[in-house]
Amino acid sequence: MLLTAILAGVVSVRRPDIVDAYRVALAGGDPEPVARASVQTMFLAVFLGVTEEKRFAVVDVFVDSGDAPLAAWQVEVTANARIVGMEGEPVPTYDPAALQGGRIVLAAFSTAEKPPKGRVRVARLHMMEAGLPDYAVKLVAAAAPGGRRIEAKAEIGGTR
Amino acid sequence: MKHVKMGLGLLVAAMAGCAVRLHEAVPQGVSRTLRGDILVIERSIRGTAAQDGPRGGELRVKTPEREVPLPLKHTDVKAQVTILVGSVTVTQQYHNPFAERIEAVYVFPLPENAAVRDFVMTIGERKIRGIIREREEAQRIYHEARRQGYAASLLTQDRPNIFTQAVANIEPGKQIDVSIRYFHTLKVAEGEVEFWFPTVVGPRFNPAGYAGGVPVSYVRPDEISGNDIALEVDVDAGVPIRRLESPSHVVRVERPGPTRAKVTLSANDRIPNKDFVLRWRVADDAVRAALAAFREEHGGYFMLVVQPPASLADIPPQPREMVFVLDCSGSMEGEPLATAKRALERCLRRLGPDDTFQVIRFSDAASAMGDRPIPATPENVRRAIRYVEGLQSEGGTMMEYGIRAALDFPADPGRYRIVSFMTDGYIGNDREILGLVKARLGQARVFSFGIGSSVNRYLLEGMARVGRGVAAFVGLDESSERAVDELYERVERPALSDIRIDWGGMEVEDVCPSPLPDLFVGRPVVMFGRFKGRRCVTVRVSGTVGGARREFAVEVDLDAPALRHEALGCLWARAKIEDLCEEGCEEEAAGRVKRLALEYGLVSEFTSFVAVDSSERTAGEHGTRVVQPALMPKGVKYETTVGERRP
Repeated sequence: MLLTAILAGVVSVRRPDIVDAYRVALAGGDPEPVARASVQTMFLAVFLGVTEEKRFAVVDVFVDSGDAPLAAWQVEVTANARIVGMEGEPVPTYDPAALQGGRIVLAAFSTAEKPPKGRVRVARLHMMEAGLPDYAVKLVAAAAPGGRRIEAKAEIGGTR
Repeated sequence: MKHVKMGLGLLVAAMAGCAVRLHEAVPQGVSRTLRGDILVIERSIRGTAAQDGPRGGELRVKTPEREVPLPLKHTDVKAQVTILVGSVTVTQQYHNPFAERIEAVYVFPLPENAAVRDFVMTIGERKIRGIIREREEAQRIYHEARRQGYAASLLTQDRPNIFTQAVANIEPGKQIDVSIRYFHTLKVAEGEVEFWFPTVVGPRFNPAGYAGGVPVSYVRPDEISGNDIALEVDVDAGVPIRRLESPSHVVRVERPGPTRAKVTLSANDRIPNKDFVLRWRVADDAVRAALAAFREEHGGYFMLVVQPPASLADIPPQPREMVFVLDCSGSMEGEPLATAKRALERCLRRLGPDDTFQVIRFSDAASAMGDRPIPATPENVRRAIRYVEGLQSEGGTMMEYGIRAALDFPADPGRYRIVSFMTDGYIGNDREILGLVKARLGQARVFSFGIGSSVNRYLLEGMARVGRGVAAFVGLDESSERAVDELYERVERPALSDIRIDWGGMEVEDVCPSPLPDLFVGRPVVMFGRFKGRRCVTVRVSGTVGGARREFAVEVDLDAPALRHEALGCLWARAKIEDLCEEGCEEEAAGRVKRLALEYGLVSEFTSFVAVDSSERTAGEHGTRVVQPALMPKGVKYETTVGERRP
């Protein structure tokens, strides 16, 4: 029992895990050393039933409207993580009825005279992650001032 | 630190023990310097630290008779009223006047019918919208964020009218604002519309053995809390406003048009220690059959206000048996009891020669002036007034005894029995009391009188609802005549009971409240429902009065309602939740409440808002909890409620 407790203490210290390696790779670095270090303690974690630590991170959602000004947008984000807040200018709203696990439908519109064009960060999602994060985004609708529908694409930016 | 979920229970227990010991090792008293002043900060431990809810260890500041620095600096309330629907944004500003990080915890009230829909945490210029989650999940997220040093906030519901706000990791000198938006329907009676906003939770008495109370701490008599409140109400009554007044506060009123009013709280009346009440009168028939509707992709929601025609008053009333029940507990000492006595004396003087009556008082125990109802002769009324004048307040609020004494009191089957409770409603076991009223009501009707500056309206409205009567409220700054006269208006005219509605071909479902309450002349009932299709129909409302069936018609045009309001879906869901909770909140009902609350994004007993700022981790160990003490409601004495004399 004592040994188990000691081992639990060892693996409970924050060590690099595969997510750190993944993020290093996303940032253009060499993930291998981090990945190797992360798996060295894996068997202990499995043996002792250690769960992944919850991490908090932000994820940016972009909408690229090309040359058209972006006055309104709606996207659907799915993630294997919990959304714990959202910000943006204006602050997006979400549909509680569509909120299921890591899926959320969010939207906002702006009455500004000159809404932005091109690739715009429309929202920053605050997330609680565990394990390897996986995000996907789908544009539901976008509009120019006056309500004219426009072609646009949505994408997830970097996470940190 | 990785979170370790060990299958080995003993190890978990050992680790939890370590956490507790760590916290116990914190010194019991530490000194802090703040703006050059030496303050003594008392640190106490309640519960375990690892999984503590909002009632863990706390910081409490003690100073001799001067303003104490506390996290809640200011509350800003902005309300928009459209006919009978209020949309209210409450912004609480929390700051950290201490030299270390803190977690601020504040228990505060909202109207008992508030549908809390929106939650935004503001840090500097950044606004983070909170997410609705199941209560336990929201708490887990919040605790994890707090543990890891992220700024976070959590809004939980303790009662339909009491909420707890927790804000974690406020750094020294920094401020975090939390905005809550809710919708609610306003109260209407005799052509008068009432908007109210509670500012303080009154001290609740919990009977021995009852563990479900909401602990609230209060500013001591030798302390002053620096937080204040600003309030603005923008009224669009939809019809000309005839008279508008606030019986509770000094206000500035602007009238941009005959149907509009903008009301602002005076700078001299910003202490959050009493309910804000605003009333305006409109034409009597203006709210007779007001309809609001809102259509969505999958159907629509409506709000219909109905009241029976005044001709119902022509039916001769039955002989009455009036039982007056007066709360004489410690919280009523002083102004509240004096106001209640004046109201009761007026009630006694208005008794008719054919009435019978009795007076019951309760605090730790209940007793009556006599053992049976007595005729309302001038001599008996004088005797009752003398009895009431001699009553003193002391002890706890054992409302159960008052209810048993009143509802079990020998009744005359030939009389229409009215039981009138006069109380501030400062109890913690609200649901038990409502269950007791429902179980013992028999043929009686309960009319509740809320007496005081910050009454427990959830309890009093609930008692009236399950007691098939109505509630009225008397503030300490107003005459009780209005409320007493309204009571007699109600009891002198028969009520339409066993209400049925023929929707005239309109596709309607899920009407709330269910069952529909009895209808009184001059007291409209607000009902919500879902509908499909578009049409203009005549709705027929029928009920029993004086042994006969009566019916009246209400014209409903779903294509041209008096109001289209986005909040109707939320208000319907809130009313449905209330219906389900009244069924007992058993497992099945609890599941339905949870699903509804999640679907409509509402705070409930089972759902909470959580917001985390994941972008930045604050430095150092997670801070100390500071529980924001509330002010004592105006007119309520600290010594007889939360002080030493409180049982």
